[in-house]
Amino acid sequence: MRYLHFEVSSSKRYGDFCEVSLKGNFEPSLPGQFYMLKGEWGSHPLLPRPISILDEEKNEIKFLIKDVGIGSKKLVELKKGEKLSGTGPLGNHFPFERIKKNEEVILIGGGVGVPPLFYLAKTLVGKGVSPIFIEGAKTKSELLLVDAIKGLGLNFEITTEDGSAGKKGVVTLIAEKFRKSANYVFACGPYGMLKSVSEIFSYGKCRCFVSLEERMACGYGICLGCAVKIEEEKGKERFQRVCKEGPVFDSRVVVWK
Amino acid sequence: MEIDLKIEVGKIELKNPLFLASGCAGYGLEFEDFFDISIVGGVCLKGLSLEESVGNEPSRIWETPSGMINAIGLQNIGIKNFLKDKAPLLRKINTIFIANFFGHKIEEYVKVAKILEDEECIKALEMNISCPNISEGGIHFGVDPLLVHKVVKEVRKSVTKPLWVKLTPSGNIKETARSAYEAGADALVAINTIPAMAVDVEKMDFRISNKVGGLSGPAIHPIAVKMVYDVVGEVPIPVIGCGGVENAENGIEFLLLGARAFQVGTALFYNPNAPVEIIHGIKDYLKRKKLKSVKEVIGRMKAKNKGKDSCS
Repeated sequence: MRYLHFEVSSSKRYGDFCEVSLKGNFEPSLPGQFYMLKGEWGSHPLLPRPISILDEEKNEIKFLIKDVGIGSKKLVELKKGEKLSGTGPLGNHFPFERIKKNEEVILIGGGVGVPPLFYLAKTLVGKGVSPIFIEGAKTKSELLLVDAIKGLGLNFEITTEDGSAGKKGVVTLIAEKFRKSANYVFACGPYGMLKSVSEIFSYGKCRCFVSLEERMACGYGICLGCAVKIEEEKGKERFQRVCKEGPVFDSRVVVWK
Repeated sequence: MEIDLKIEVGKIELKNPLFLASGCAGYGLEFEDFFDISIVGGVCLKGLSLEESVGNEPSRIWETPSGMINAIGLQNIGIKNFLKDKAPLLRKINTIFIANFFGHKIEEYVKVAKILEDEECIKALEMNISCPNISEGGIHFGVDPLLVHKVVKEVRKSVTKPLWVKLTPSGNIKETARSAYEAGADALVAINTIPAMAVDVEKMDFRISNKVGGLSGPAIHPIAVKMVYDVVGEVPIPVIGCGGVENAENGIEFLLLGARAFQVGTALFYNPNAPVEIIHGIKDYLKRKKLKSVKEVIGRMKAKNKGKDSCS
């Protein structure tokens, strides 16, 4: 990880979302990692915001940021040429290295959980693995990265709660079909969705990994703000840091609320 | 012109007046990706207790205008794990390490202090007295001058290493400062976080699971400046300023009022490079003011301190 100053090389706004590209001398990242980002607006909002990496190419790193509050609102309003600081890449990553070409891999994403899974899907496709991507949203207009995911040429399923696109309902309706066959599941999205996914896949041969969120101040392990309860050994629960030991956890060790 | 940043806090010589504040600097080993930790004057380590402490349930932090509230719950690895896993690594680093510690009973403070006394990498002990005293109905040690005197005196009797007391802004800080000094403290750190609370009006619930947390960051800096001014006027021992320092100017404010050094805490969260920038900024300031040594800054405004603080 490094603490760097970036310049926005491009920013494309889609409703509440903004795709921000940064150029700089950053370290290579892995899918599932994130940056703590903050613009030059002084002390309010004070803290940087954790943002998952959408994609990375030579000299350029991309984020898809949603306006959900005062900090992210400032980030989605950044224009080309504006400066910001970032610490990263941070956290562990989706453990994809051991996946074999013939194994069944399911990616399940909702909302801001979709961008890091896009990065994972792209990486898997590059390794010759073809995952199944399930994206869920409330309604069609809130679906993210649909064309980009289609562009990867994989099996892509959509659910919307109002039925305006894909299958009507939530992601678990489709995920359920793979309960017995999946070798790997990677999920990122709202807490309730992750918990449901965990209930489906945390048994048998399947390895299920979820990327968790928690409020954090530093992102690099010192503030201890982003604690999440993990069962380290049978019957022994302890707080781990989403920013350091996570954000990606084996779904079986998460102590779900 | 050679710029001299060296200072002393009691008998401890430091290469510059910048400390990393306890709770914001881990165990001193987490910054190697950002800067060489040996550039700082000293590091106040994450508060240690007799036993490991798991900390509070989330949510533990909430951001406020120019600040943040935290209730981590003094999570720490405990003194035994510290000595086994961290201390051997710290012995190899060329800066001063200060062990922050706390207890929930006077005996606990004494026990931890005695153990720390024997660890060679620890040059001074920093007592966190902003803890509830479970032997006396949970009243916080730090707000009651008599309790402050009692706990500091007991620790003082048990150790020979320099003993610093980190004062809480709750209560009357002049009185608690005087108590700590009279009980034998070698230096005082002012201030710890300010008790604070935030409410989620949509959920009609507290923003932090512990309900109460400690406010830190630039929001509290002017309050810390006033309290450092008060404490410096009250006791003859070294005072170390702490609260919302994010740049050289913030630190120099404390020094001009008579603090011997200052600590940087929350700024590390949003700018891990802050210590490098602040040390650089102090050098620039001294050059601009045509001063050779940072010691010429310390207490320079003390003469102006007298007789001007009637009600505002």
